[in-house]
Amino acid sequence: MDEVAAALERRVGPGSVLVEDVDQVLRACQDMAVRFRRGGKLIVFGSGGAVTDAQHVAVEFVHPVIVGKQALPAVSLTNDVAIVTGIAGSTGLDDIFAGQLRLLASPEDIAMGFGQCAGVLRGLAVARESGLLTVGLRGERDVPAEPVDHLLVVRSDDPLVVKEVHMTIYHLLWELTHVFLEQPEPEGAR
Amino acid sequence: MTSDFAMLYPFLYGTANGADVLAQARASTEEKIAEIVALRRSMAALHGEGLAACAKAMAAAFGAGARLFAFGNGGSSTDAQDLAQTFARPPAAGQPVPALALAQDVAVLTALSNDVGYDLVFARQLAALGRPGDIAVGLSTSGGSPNVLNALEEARRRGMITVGLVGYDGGKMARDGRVEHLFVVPSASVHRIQEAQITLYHVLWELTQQALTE
Repeated sequence: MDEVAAALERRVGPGSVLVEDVDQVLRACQDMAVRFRRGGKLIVFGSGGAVTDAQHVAVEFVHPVIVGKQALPAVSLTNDVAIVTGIAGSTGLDDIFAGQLRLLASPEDIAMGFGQCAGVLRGLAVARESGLLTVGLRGERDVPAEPVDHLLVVRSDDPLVVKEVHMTIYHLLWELTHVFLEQPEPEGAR
Repeated sequence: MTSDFAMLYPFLYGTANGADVLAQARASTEEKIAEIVALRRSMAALHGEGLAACAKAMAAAFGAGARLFAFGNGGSSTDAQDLAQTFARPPAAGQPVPALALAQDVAVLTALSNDVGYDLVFARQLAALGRPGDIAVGLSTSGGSPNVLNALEEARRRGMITVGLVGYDGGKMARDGRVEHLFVVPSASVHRIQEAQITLYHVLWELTQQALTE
């Protein structure tokens, strides 16, 4: 019992401090809404545990939980094991997302990468070179690296807690993107 | 559910200007963050004992050679995959135990959907894969997904440990004592339910790991 309470208390800090990043989340959503409005799609990726985040994000946008919300184009790059292991075997594990992005991405798209493994970083770098909007979700333990347009960092070094707060962040990203999508294009947006 | 957005963002349906939109979106986002923090915290009183008992039963089962099968639909299928992955490939220094996410086998999933119907996908998989003493974990926000309920039923028939994660008031999953270890997240938001459920099964994993090493 006490162990459960203690485990839950460890979630309070990282969950609460997200409130300081609300403006960053809002800015990401404004930019994402602009991309969708221009016909862009969302391409999501991550390795290991983050695979499930990528797939959860994709289904969130394609099949909204709130009836009547517009279905938005989103794909995760982690579903097709044949392609992933094919790329890993030929051009290397670090190319699994970049290789798919080179084929699938258009400049008006959005690339969302979870975590900071070499494959995700290379994917985000290729996306950025190709003109995509780049969004990175990370944990505190991840060291700063390649620049992305919107970096959202969870302040915890426990990968499970990071994942839990990431879920709140991507639920908010989905919901707020719809809010801005239904508004006139914000001034100064790319 | 259509009116939810109108209720949450009345400005969208009025003539508010951009600044109001931003201010109201900010305020409602801050509320949601506070809501999930409080909801997670409330799980201690609600499910502390249940989690401890479930972890103990699961650790004993793993010790006797059990495998874990996790299943759900949509976002809950990715959560089931996360759950299985956490047990099978734990972060840091955990002890790996056998765990599978049933929705990950697209060939089996589409074969069963095509031939016998989607309502039976997970149940048929458990019938083929499950043994007495194994662990079945079903995730649903509504508690009404027929394939999740059928699979929990099948698991129970086969003498498996049944674990259910559900939202709202528990729906059908909470009826008739059909699930041995039931964790209801009392919220009406699918998003907040999932965010509390991911914490519940992560904590369940932590407790199971502790019990495995005792």
